[in-house]
Parts: sequence; structure tokens; C-alpha cells
Amino acid sequence: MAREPLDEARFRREQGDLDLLFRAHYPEIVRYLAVRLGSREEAADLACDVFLEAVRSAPRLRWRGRPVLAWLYRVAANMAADRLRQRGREVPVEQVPEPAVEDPDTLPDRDALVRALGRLPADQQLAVHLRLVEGRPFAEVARLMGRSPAACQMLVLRAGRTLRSLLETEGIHAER
Amino acid sequence: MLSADERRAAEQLALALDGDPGAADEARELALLLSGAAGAARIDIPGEEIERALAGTRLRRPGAKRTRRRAWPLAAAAAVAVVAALALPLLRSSPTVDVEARAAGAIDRRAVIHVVSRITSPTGVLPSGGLTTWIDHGGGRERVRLTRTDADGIPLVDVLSTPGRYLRYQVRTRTAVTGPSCRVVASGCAELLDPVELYRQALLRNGIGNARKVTTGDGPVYRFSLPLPGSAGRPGIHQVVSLDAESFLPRTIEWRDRTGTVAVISVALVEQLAPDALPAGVFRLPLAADTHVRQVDAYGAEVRLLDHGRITLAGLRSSNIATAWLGQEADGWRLQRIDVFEYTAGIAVRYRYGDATLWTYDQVVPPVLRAGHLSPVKILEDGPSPVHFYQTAAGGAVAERDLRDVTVAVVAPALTKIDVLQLISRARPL
Repeated sequence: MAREPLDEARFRREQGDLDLLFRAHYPEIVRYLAVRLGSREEAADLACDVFLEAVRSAPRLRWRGRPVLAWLYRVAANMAADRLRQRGREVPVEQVPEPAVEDPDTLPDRDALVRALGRLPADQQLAVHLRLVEGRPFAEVARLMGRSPAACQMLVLRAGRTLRSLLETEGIHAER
Repeated sequence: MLSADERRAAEQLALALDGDPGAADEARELALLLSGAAGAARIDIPGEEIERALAGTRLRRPGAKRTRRRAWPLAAAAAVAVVAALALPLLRSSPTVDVEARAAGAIDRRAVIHVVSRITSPTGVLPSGGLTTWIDHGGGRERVRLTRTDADGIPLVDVLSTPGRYLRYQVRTRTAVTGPSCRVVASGCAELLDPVELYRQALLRNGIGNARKVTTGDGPVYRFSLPLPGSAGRPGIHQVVSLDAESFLPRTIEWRDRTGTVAVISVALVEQLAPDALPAGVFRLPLAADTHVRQVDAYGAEVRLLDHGRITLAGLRSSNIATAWLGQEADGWRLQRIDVFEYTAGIAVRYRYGDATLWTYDQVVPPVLRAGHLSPVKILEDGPSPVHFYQTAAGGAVAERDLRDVTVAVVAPALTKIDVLQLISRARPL
């Protein structure tokens, strides 16, 4: 099914209409940033900055077969990285401090899961966010990330393994 | 360079994420873990928060007018700081703190909130007349039903907003618009913001710093003001709230801007009910039979068919389309063919079983069902979700119900209602 003309039309509409762009994508950008920054409040604040940047720059974007959303995610990722650098809180996965091991039968609680997601490398986290949090098929994840579907599947595989090992260091084991 | 094993493992995980039970053990384990983590990260962003943030962003965009704050002389600022420091213990021990806690505790977000109010707005910032709202925050899956009436109580507009579905019915003209969210209608999301809910949000966000007790003809109230962030499209409005001194629920909320009062909301009722104690039909909006219904996509454009075609069962299974079916055979009829219809706003699937047809859809109601879909003639509480019975424009009997991710509808002109009910009770995810 040919989607290209439809996608380009949507690109043009979103490019020139902040309200449309905002209402269509603000929630998912907040969700993405909330995990990245570990704070919903901060995510909402930064998401507004992302859309302000869109107001400034989107009119200059050229259609290259990818939606405005792909650009929004890139801006959001860069802004989140800047914010984390400012806070000095970005801790590489291998340096995550090991908390005390508690009951090994503990099921992953929500906070532990979200914390672990936030510690994933940025590209793995984005792939998980797009595929699992937002429920997009891999073909669309690939288009938004500018990679092949196979590469995105690989990112999600690595994310799953990293997540498993992060949770295991917290004494939490996945159900089998 | 990726090894073939790694590529296979990634493909297996992709299958497991699509729900394939035949995926490898590790893939299923990781899929479970990732799904759990994703579920925890899938926070809901309510419509009103989006509108508020959008209003704030509009004000900050380049070229927007800004009010420059006057710089206070240093000495004055220092004096205020000293006074504030001295006053802090007094404020902490004042009854204001108690009012804030009681006011915040008076509206329970876990309950379904029913508000009846009357609005007078000479400037038109809010529509004057009666307003009845039901708000179910539903753990992030918010449902809102709103009815506006004129000054005589005659219904003008009825709106129902549930996750993924929005319906706005103009009673007088018998016209309705339906789409995936309140964004499909200009000011649709702003309309869903009940003034009492806006008060509650401002209370939780800003707290009460200036409550004073006043005795009115109707008894004592606490009066205080709260900001109303540009959510009504009119930045700079604040709300002066009169809170019942016994129930700590609002009696009146007055919206004011620099020019004076722009709206008065007289609250007649704030009722809080457990979700299982709701009157029947609160979150249903049946339309009159001759209502003209316009179905639009997420961008407000009329829904159009983009493509359709036959698909095999295997093809459908390997796609990402959320659907359900009745099995290979239903009531003696074998599954004959499956067709997929791609609309600008979503996908519908049609299964043919002899004289019966099963439709499954998410955000777009197939045109053949649209006429009757919003005007059910009978609703039967049966099983996990109610079954709605109605007729197609051609007179065919339809039974419809919501499953977890998809709505299913059985059309069977030659069958009785009981037969159709039996058929639809067999619908299960593919």
C-alpha cells in the first residue's frame, strides 16, 4: 500500500502547525523523556523546549521520507543528553553501582523497571520506547530511527539482555 | 559483524513481542521483561495537561508577547525576605495549611467524579448554561462524559471521551462527529476541562497561600485565589474559589482577568462514586436514530478508504493488526475469506462465515456499521463487556462488543438475536 504521498502530506501539515504537531506527539515525547531523565516533571518541561525548537527549525526541514516525529525524537535525545550532562547524572551502564541484593524472588516493581530502562544506552532505549512503549511495528521504528528493521530488532535484543542483567544486579530475576 | 545466531535471536524476540508462542525460550523471557518495563513506562498524559503545556509553549514561542517583570530594588527584596522568614512559622501553624489539606482530600481522584454546575459568562470565555460532567480517571485511562444545556436545562451538546474514542453530539441539529480523540474538534479538548477539575489541578499544583474565612448568606466559606494556567485559551485568568467550610468542596469559582470577572461557576453538586456504583449508561452516548455522524481521523479530516484487499489467515497473523476471530468454523459455517480495509485513520478486518460477517476494528468504524453503531437499540450486560445490538442501514442485525484491543461486530441478517449473541461470545484474539 502506497503511503509515501500521505506521509509527505502529513509531514507538510505538521511542519507548519505547532498545535497539530504538539497534540499529536507531545505525550510520547514526554514518555520518552520521563524514562531518559527519571523525572516526569522535568520531562514535561523539556518536551516543551523540544517543541519550541520545532517551531524555530521545522519550517526549514526538507522531506526525506521520514516524518517530523523522527526529527523530534532526535532533538529530544540531544536535549536529554545535554540535561543529563549538566546534572552529571549520566552513569554508564558498566558503572551502575550495585545495590544490596535482597530477596531473589522479588518481582520487578514498576520503579525498578523504569529505572533500569533509563540506564539503557540511548539507542537501545529509543528502540524499546518506540516498539514497546508506543507499540509501533519494527518497520516504523526503523523509519523513525533511520536504521534497518533488523538493526532495530538487534537493539531491542540487546536492550532486553542489558535490562535482564541490570535487574539481576538488583536481585530481581525475570520470569521464565 | 553480527553472527547468524544473534540475528536469529533478534528475529525470535521480534516474534515473541508479536505474541508468537512458538518463539525461543530466551526470546519469550526477554519479551516478558521488556513488556513489563514498557508497561511501567507507558504513563498517561491527560488531554488537559497537553492543552496546558501547549498554551504555555505558545506563550514562549518566538514573537509571543511577554510581560517584563519589574526588577525590585535590592533593599525591598531583602526586606520582603526578612518578613517572609519571620512569617513562615506563623503561616505553617495557621489554619490555611489545614484548609489546603482538607480541600485536596475532599476530591478523591480514585473515585468517579460527578459535577453539576451552572455557568454565567458574560464575556463568553466559557459557554453559559448548565454543565454536567462525569470524570473517571480510571488509573490513567480517563473517561469523560459532559453535557451542556442552555439556561432552561435543554441539552445542547453531549460529549463522550474514552481512550482512543471521542464522540461529540450536537443535540439540536442531530449531528455528531467521532474520531480517535478530542483533538479532532477545534477546542474539543478544552471543552472537556471541567472548571472544578481545573480548580483541583491548580490546588494540587499551587497550594493555598491566602485562604480567609468569610461568612456568607449560605454559611461560612473559605475564600482564596488560584492561578488558572492558560488552559482556557485566556492566559492571565485566575480563579477566586469559595470553598464550603464543612465539606471543603467548592461552592463557587469565579474566573477573573485584568478586566474583572469573566465567568462565574456555581457548583450545585460534587459527587464521588466508586466505579462499580455508577448509574447505568453514564459512559455511553446513544444518538438519536436519524443523527448525521461524521467520522474523522486524528487530524480532523473525513475518514477515507486508502486500500483494501484479501488476506490469508497466515498473512493476518504475521501482520501487526490487532484483530479477533470466531475460529476456523462458527455455528457450522467455515471461514471463507478475510479482507483488510485500510482507512486514513485505522484498519478494519472483515471475516466471512457463510451468512454471518465478523468485523473487527479499532479506531475506524466500518461505514457499513456506522449508521447504527452509535444508536444501539439494546444493550445487554453479558460476559466481560456489554453487547450492543443495533441495525445496519440495510436492516441487518448487529451485535457488537469491545474486547481488550479491538471492537468486534457480528452482522447476520438471517439470524436471531440469541444466535448472534452466541456468535459474538466466541470472538477471541487471533
